[in-house]
Amino acid sequence: MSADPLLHVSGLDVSFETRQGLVRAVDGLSLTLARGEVLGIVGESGSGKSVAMRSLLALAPGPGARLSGSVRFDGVELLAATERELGRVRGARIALVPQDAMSALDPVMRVGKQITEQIRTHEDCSREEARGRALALLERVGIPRPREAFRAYPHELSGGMRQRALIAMAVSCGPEVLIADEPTAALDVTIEAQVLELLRDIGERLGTAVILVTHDIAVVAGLADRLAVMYAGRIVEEGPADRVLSDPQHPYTWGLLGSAPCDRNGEPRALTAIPGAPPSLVHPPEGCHFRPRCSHEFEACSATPRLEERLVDAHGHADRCWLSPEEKHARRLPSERAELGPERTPA
Amino acid sequence: MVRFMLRRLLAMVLVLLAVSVVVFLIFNVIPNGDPAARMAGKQATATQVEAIRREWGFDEPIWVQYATTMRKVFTGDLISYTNRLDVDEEILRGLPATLSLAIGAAVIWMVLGVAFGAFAALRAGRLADRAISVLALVGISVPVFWLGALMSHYLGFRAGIFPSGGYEPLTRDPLGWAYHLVLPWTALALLFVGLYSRVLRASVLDGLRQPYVETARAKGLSERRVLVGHVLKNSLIPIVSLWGLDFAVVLGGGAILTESVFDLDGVGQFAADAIAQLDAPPVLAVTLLGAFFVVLLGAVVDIVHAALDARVRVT
Repeated sequence: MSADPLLHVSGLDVSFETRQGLVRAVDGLSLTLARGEVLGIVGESGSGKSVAMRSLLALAPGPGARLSGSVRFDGVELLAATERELGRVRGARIALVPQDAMSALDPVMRVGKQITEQIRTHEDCSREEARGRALALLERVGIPRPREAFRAYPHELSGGMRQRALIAMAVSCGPEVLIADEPTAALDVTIEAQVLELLRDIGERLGTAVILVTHDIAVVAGLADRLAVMYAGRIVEEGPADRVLSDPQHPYTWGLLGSAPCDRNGEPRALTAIPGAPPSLVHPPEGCHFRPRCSHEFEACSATPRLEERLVDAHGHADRCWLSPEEKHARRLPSERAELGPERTPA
Repeated sequence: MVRFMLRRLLAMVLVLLAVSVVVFLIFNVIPNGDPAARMAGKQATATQVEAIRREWGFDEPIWVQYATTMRKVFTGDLISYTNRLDVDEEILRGLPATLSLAIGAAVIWMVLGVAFGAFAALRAGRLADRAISVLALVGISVPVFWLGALMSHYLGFRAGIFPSGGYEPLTRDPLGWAYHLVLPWTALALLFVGLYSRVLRASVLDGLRQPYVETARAKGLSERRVLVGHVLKNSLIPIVSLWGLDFAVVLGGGAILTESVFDLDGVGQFAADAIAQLDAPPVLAVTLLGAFFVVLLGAVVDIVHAALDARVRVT
């Protein structure tokens, strides 16, 4: 069996025109997602994560944006689909949990209505039925007084409650893929843990595949089956989560791990910042996009390998750096040795 | 809510008081504005003028005159200095025409303004959008007396398609009423159509950029439902507030030019005639009426706004 993956993205490009010039927000993105799998996508702000996730729903970041490449979902090419076909996928089979829970809800529509609206768009059910389902969903995502939340306007709920309501909305039609775009960015740390727990729980109970997007690698460390690291519109490293965390390959991943404030056991440690800033996506550096900030740059970096060409192991762990694993081990600086991998048991 | 109403009522009293004082003072300091001299006529002798002054109480201290006049406004005893007609009666006589003009034009400009504005926003940057922008600018810039006169002359007098002026009471002949008002409605609405389409275009464009619109799309709603159910619903809120206030202004005599051009004989025209003759009582009464509408509809607008947008509370 092991037929097609549920979602298969290949060579996805997203670009749009700005005053400064053509921005290539997503550059040749490829990834696959199996049923029930949790994929973490990590990258700093502006790395194209959010734009990439929206294009999985064939949603362009603006009127002038161009989407090209391929997004195949369950055998259907979404980038070539009609609006009608997309309407049957969006919200029903692939759902999005947006980033900013305050502005992602319509301020002048009651929260309950915004959920039933989605249910009634995709399923033929009565108003009362939809209401009952929405109330059950609100309860399930841990909202203490579902009836009040149902009748409330978004501003009457706290940030955590709004995010829960958005999750309830996203799972309302039993999607096969749940894309959570920084679902905890606006939340307190305590609430963050609850929301992540909720997402994991939903993924497990409904068998939903989850794409969890975040800038905080610690957020996905405990949740994701696989991890993709995004930098300047490209995936620079991808693999099983524990492999990427315990044996990171790309110098950017080293830096990312070094900038997490705690190790996996929650012990605080010294922070190391990655020098410099992410490149402009209008005039990105030729070859490897991380080159200008990388302390290991050499001649070969004026071109960049494709992910598939640089497999590190048999588990599909790959990265887009020309250095061989041995060279990396030799060259990696002490300050780049932070890891979030599972604690090594002392011999 | 009760506190809100009480506060608004108090505000209304204060505004009306201030407006009446200002208008009254203006007529007292205006050059050539001595009502006794004007009433006596050009050939009058000084003693005749003095007699009128005493008879009408213009020799009293100004605050006594103010008090007397204001009492008359509310008892309905106020009469014009020039034609001796009862001011309140004249206003009531002109009100149906003014109301008809204002309500009809307000409906037209709202509907067309929203339609053009939404259409322009969805075609932003393209030819249709630019064409509407130019037309809107023309609509805003064209003086209503010029446009009205052209319409009245060419469509009314020359072509005979519409009556060139006059008002037909609704109760007497509903069809004739609308027929007589088509040109005035169009002339008056045009300015606001231009204005409202610009405001709505900006507001829809802003709405389209909001994250909740993307959420709505990601939910799988059709583009039409996204636009009507989410974008427009939010974009109309500022327009509704604007609408209430503009309507109040037009009701309170703001349509002076339209009324005059089409000879509708409404409140605005009544005020215009009074101003031309420096006739204080009608001007005072019409100004108070206008201020009353503005304050009243201001309160209504606030209540409606709070009903449309739960984030807003009336206080």
